[in-house]
Amino acid sequence: MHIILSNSSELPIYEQIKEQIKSQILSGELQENEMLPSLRQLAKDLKISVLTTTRAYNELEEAGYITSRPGKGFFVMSSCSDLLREQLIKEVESNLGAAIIASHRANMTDTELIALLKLLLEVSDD
Amino acid sequence: MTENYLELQNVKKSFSNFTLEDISFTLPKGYIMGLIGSNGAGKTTTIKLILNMLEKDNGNITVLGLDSVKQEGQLKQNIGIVFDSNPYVDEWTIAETEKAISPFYNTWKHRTFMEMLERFHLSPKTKVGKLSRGMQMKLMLAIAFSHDAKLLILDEPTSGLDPLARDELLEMLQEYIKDGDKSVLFSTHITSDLQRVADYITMLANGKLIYTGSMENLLQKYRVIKGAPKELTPELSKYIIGLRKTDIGFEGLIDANTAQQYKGYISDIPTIDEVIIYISKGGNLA
Amino acid sequence: MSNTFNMARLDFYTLKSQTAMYFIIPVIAVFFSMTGSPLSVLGFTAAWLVLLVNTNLFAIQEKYGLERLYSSLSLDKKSVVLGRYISTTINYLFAFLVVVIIGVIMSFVQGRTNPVDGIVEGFCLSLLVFTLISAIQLPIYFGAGYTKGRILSMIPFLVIIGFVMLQSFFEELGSVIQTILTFGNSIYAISFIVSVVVMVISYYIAVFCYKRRQ
Repeated sequence: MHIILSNSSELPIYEQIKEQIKSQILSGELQENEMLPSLRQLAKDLKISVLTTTRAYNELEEAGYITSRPGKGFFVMSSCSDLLREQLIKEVESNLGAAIIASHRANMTDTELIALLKLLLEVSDD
Repeated sequence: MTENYLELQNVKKSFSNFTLEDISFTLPKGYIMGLIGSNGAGKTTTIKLILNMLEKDNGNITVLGLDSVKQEGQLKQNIGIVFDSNPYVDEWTIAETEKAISPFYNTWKHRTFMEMLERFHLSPKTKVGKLSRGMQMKLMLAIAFSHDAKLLILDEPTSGLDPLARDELLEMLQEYIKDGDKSVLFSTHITSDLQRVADYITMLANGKLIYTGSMENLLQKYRVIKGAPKELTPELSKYIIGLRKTDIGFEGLIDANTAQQYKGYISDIPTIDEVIIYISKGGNLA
Repeated sequence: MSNTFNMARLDFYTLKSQTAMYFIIPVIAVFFSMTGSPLSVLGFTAAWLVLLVNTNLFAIQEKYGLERLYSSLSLDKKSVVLGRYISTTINYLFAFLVVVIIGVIMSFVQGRTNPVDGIVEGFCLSLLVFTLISAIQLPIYFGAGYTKGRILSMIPFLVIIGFVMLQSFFEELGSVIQTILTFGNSIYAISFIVSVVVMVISYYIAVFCYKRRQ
């Protein structure tokens, strides 16, 4: 896992952490059940306050991306969890939506679009 | 259950030209609290009252669950203090300082002390008076870390230190609280040190408590409002703290909720310094 | 509090930079012995020098802000004061011992037949001098610090000098000494008890003064 904070970002620090962890989970960079750094280790590494990392992790937990196991720490939720799946499906939806818009601009028909999708699915299955 | 490592309740102390009034705040276990305010705000007086260097007129102070007056001897076994300069005799060597001080502690760890000296590149034979400001601070830290101190109190530890030394100090403090079982009270007027690392803030001005709570809440509580001179209505200026007017504009601190009503003005999240400056200038303090 | 003794020990560490002073005591003791002074005079000398050293403790404490150190340790104000009383008394006893040893040695060197004559006298009288002056000095220094204390502690001495200037003083003193001499040897026991009582009272006053100091 990596977190890179920017002072000039509009987002407060805890939001930056949340976003970066979220995207790394969604991209698969952070594997399911992978252990995250402890609150205090993260605070120390990023040179920020413990309350800040606590807020970021708590909000990620509420949103279903990570879970805390008492005495052990914070772990990435396994992707079977409903909440995470919901997020991932939303991600698919929005990507597909973008694809549809692009296909209209390219003057593709619906049939062409679906054929392209089928082709890509076959390729990724190999 | 969160244990509080430091608790002040309605603490009051009067001098002939200054009064510290009704100070109450709490520092829970495992966190860093910044005690901030401009010079003369009462930070050092507060610390002296916590250490019982001064007798309080009123109120309660509890340190690590113990009364600061009645159980003073006991609680001082578990607190470490870093002052802005060495409270030792200049002619002492570091080794002699250890010999003079260690008998006072039931749990003095000589080996830990020697390890810390090595880590800080301090030689036991050096005379204390010959140490630079940065090395003095490291010596005080080494001593504080060598006897099971659960609460570390620092009184203006970074004045006179270069940025690298200040950075090293912050790193050591974060290392110190890593096990979640220790707390830090950091009194300073150099707030850039605290901006990112402090969990809680207690702010004093002119002997009064202005704010105590999390850093985040403090920064969300206020906004810096700016605008053109003609935009400064009498109604608006009533709400502004520390108003500064020039020919080309005005600026000041305002409650964040009130700021909502004045859209169209520049309304920034303040830095800690700005909060202190505007509040110290005064006026319209809620 | 066992830390009282640690405080006295700390005082000796504090005086470390002043060890030169300690060497003056034997030198002066040798000098006075050569002039044939009895032990009582030597005793007074020891007391006087120690009193100078005592105020040095307060000077060093003020110079380096050692109260900050004391406040960081398990030392309440009573222990600080008691520790200092103990360290100054030990200083005096040590100085007196050195003086006695040198006095005895010098007596043998000079072939005198009664080397230990006047030890008891010398001890009780010099102890009385030491405790009377300390009992006034220590509370003042604890209450006012070194810089102000130096000036304030002049006052008792000026008062004493004022008394001495009065002609009637010597007449009074004469009759007092006559009365005292009728006590005989029990004077020494009384003098010792007075010394102790004076120091104890002074200790309580000093604690009060130190606590009141801002």
